Amino acid sequence: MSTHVATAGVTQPRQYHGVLDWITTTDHKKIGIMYIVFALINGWLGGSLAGLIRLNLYNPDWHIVSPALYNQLMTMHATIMIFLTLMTAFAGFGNYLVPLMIGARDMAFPKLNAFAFWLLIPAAMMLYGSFFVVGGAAADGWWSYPPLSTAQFSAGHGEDLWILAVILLGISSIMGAINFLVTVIDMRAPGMNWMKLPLFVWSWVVTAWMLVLAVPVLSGALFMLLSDRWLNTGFYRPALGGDPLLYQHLFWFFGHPEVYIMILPGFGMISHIIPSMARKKLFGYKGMVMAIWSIGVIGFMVWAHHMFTAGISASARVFFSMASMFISVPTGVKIYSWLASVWGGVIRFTTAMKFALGFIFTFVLGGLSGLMLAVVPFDILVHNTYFVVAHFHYVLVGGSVMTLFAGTYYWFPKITGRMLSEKLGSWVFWLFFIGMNWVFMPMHLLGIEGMARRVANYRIEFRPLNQFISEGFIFMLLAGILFTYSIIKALREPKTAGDDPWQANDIELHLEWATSSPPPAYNFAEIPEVD
Amino acid sequence: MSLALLSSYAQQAGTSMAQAMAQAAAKGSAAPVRNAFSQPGGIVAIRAAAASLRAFVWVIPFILIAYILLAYVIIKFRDKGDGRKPATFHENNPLEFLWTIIPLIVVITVALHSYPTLTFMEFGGNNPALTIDVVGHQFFWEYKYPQYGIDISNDTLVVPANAVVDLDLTSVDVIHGFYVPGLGIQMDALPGRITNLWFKAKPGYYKGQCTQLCGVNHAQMLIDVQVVPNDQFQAWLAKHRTQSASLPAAPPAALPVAPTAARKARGKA
Repeated sequence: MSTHVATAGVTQPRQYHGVLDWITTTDHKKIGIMYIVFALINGWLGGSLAGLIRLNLYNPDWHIVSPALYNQLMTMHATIMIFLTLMTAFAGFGNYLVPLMIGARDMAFPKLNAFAFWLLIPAAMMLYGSFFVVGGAAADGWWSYPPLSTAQFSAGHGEDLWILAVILLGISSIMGAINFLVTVIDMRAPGMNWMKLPLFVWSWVVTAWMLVLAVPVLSGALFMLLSDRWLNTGFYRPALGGDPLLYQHLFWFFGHPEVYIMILPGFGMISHIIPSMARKKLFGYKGMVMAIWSIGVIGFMVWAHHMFTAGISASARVFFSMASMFISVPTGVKIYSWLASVWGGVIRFTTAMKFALGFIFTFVLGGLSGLMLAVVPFDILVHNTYFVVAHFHYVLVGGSVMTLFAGTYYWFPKITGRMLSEKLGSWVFWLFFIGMNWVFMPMHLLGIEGMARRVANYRIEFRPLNQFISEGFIFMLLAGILFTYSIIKALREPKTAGDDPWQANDIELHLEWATSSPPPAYNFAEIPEVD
Repeated sequence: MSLALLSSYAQQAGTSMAQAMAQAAAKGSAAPVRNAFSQPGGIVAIRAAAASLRAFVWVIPFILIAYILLAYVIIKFRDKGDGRKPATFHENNPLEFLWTIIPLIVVITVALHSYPTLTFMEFGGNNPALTIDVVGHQFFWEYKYPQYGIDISNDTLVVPANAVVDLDLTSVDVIHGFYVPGLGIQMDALPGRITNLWFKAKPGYYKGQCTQLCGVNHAQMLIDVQVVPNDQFQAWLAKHRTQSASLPAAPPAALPVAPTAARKARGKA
């Protein structure tokens, strides 16, 4: 059956060359590459906004940017990093790797796949363009809580553009997610049964389910917000019978699963990299699959921990506190399984492995500060302070970004046929790892001392730590420059990587390493059989 | 801020208590921001910090175990070029069962341990000596003492020490967050709703700020709380009651420019 569907997908499209080829392509590999390049560009833009934020916070007396612009920078930094960088980067690797890993020739719906990618462009144009409309870009944080985000308090069209862009990005995500699900369900090579599925594919299956279930809720909440702004419907306005808390529940019903949407594919990557580099089979495959599913399911039952100080009932606090703690159990299982995978292995400290092991270091901290935040009395002491900023940057930078670095170093040879410099890679890793901890570790302290988040300036008492933090940003910036340089440099070199530069298939068969680097159009001349 | 210091202001300058308060506030701005861990300002902060530390004690071993194992595998299992063959095990059901069930028991313990404190923070403030309505505005706080007919805006919140103080919070515009780390309290103020918190504090000066992004001047929306002994509080009440009585019944609807300017002036004084 799989073979039949796969061959049916092969229709020879008209051939174009150069730019036109990229614009018209429905090839999952080219679309994947475009996603990844798009993510890298947006990572630079979003990171630059972070640089401006840190520069402004270096000294509360400097006022580099106005408070109004600061709020825009802060909002857009989050929006760009979440929706345009992390989600698209994982979508890119998913697009490139999932069909290869399951032995398919393309995604199930190649045209839908291309459409999902090209929707990102107008969305990005709306987001960046909104800086130049009257009133500037959206400035209400990426949660965009009403009433602040209603027409009464945010009259500018920046907010409208933001809402429309995020709805568009959501549509793109839903289309991508459905495509992933159908591809994996229907187009696995013969013999590739569910319990042989590589973990990166598994993690994308769960991620896709989460996207399909969570994103429509966000879209609905944002449509209601939009109609509140334009039609005065008052879903979120108490004076018109609405309630601002309704929005918070809807938003976080999406917002918390979103966190796992941004980390599960990264978990999947690590589960490939660690066994390859330790030259040992992954430990506890079944446990890993169960852990991903548990995270996916429990991830939908913890959203109100973002609202512990919003005046929810005591019983809601008790339930969501307990549920939030449960989710650290499957996460812990994954950490232990990775460590057990390394145990007894023979480790090659490639850059990919350095990032993978560095990821374990940072993610343990991010996960356990999350566990602390699930303790309601502690959350009350640090809610909406820099402790929370530290926590989610440990998860998103120490988690998602580190896994993306690891994944890039690991699969770059497959995607381009060329190796990234390991010498530069070592510099990239150490600069980024030190910079990342330098910047985000002291934020825990800043939060415990009581500095609120999302502030353009602060009480003078917080200045020493803020200056220290801002200085660390330079390391992350240098890592970014070296990383980008390393990619450009590698692309000018000959294609010498070979099919399986990491000898991954010596340990276990991985279809993506069984084909050439880069793989030919339609991946497999003959659909492989897996035994 | 000690009682002696406070009354010495009033005596030396021969000024009103309100002015003494303003001076105290200016003095207070040089004091560190207190937090519940280093300088807890009362039973709520103490209980919250203790609950946090209890949870932290459970969390530390997990950080240590993970980091020790990580360091161990990195050192022990690197490729030393001696041709060692990698191990081949990839499953161990009892081990996997253990590292699921033990953390599960631990997190249930941590959660259950925090509930008494949660209950205390939520319901422990019975028979409050004083109820204050806190109203969030863009970008200042308004404090109403309905028992005494006092209504002050953009000023230090003055409360008696060692008494249960109940805060009913709401907002007239957007959502604000009322956060005073030294007192161990944080609660959002939402339009159309009344949220509630309580505390019982030791005398002193406590700084906080708005924690829910509320617009352009969110960062300027600071909170200052002065906890004074009861006799001082009664004197403060007497002064403000007469002042409020002479004011028009309704407070000004909005103070568009003044709050920030006043804040800045006070910060520099």
